[in-house]
Amino acid sequence: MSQVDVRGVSLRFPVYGTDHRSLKRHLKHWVVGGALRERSGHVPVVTALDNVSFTLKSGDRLGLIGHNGAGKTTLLRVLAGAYAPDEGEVEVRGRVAAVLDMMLGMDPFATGYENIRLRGLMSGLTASQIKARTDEIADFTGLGPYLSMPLKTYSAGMVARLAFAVTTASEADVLLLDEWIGVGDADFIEHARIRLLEMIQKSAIFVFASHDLNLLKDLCNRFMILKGGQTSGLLTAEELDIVMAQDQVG
Amino acid sequence: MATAPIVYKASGRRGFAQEMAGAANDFVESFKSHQLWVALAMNDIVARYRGSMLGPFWITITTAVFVAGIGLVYSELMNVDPALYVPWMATGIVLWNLILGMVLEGADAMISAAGIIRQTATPLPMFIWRVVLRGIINFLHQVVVIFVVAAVFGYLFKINLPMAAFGLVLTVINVAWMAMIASIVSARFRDTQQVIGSVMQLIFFMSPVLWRPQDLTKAKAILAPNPFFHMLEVVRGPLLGLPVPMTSVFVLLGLAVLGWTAAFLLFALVRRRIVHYL
Repeated sequence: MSQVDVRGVSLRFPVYGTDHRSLKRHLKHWVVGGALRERSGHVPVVTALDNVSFTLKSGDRLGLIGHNGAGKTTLLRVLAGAYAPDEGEVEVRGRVAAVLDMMLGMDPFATGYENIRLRGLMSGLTASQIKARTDEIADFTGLGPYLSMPLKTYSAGMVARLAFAVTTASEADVLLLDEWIGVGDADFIEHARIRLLEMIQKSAIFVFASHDLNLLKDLCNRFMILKGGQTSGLLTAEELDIVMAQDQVG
Repeated sequence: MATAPIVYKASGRRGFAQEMAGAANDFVESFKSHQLWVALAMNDIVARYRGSMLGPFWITITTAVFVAGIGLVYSELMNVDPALYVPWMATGIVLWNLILGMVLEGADAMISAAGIIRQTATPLPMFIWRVVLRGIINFLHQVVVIFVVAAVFGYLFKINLPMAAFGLVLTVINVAWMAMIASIVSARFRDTQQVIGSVMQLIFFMSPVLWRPQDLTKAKAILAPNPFFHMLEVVRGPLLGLPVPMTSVFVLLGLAVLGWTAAFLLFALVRRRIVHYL
């Protein structure tokens, strides 16, 4: 049984602007001291997640709703383990697969096969697991002999096919998805949709951030509205409708 | 149904001890994911020379040409017998290339991996191992030059290979903590790379790479505090069939402990922040 526990998680982003990144300026302020030093000490901070708590168990499909910058992607990255929370605790039981950026770690100069290997390792597969899956991945891309060519010779659609195939190759207990991925020609889009749905079905827990409310309602059974890093808590579909309706009125 | 084991766990700051434990765990995890950083390092090497006919052997050729050219001119300039000067300088240059490459590329280790770091739970020290491995692979392509020079000048069988390997390990361990510190500082302050570049250039001229310590008389005091001098000493000695200066071995051992303590502490303090620097 897989489980995701998020307890009182807060995450603040220090924004290291150009002004703050220069070592010279930093040293200068240090040397000058006094008032300047005080001013330079403050790196602007954005609160991306503010005391977020929830628990997901096997069978839960969570849809994250919110405007741009509300904290959806940040929350997914916290669950993926890329960001460590400043406060609170995250505990994930089960293997995580995060589909946040399909192009992660793709090397345009490496061949399709080499990219499959690199990406596989990045998503936590072992070399032997990748070897065992390569044929299946290659088959799904439908790229055939092109897989021995460098990625830079591919069309955008071909790159997307490969990226999608590798991204969805690892099986996971906890699947994190940032926006629906629809790529390639009409024929492939349908293939991709089926494969992604399969992957979601196979996962025990699914967390999905999207702007497409209908899609969210199709795929999820729990919902959470994020606003400025704060959450509504877990809502059922009915509760979501009520909250959304109130929002419209208010 | 049994509950699955915890695969990922992270919590907010809970004091120094916990940060230290977290950092130690990152190191352990980074060794466990060796398949990934070995693959990345290999891919880096292959990528750099893709489309070139000689591939990484370009480094070999570049080094050989450099050694021949500098050997010809500098042995005369410094008035040293080429049979003494060329082996000295050849070993020095090859070693310096290893050191310089690791430090400079170390400064870029986190920055160039920003995409991966921002999206996955990869243990960060991994990217230092990637740079170190890359440096060693480049080094192995240049080491040929050292052996060719040794054969030409007839001291090939005087080379003390085990001692040289030991010296090399000491050197790499020390350069690795420098790379680690450089990677973190340069992620935070983007002009660090320029600073490191200039400083390393100065150190190059102030270290006995192209010249010999015995040619210094008044300024000899600059050698002892220079860590790179000791690195050169412990590898070069055995490669030239000379005795290994034990002082340098102890200096490097001590420096490794101090340096790694500093690098580890720095990492423990800012490891949560590194992803935000990028």
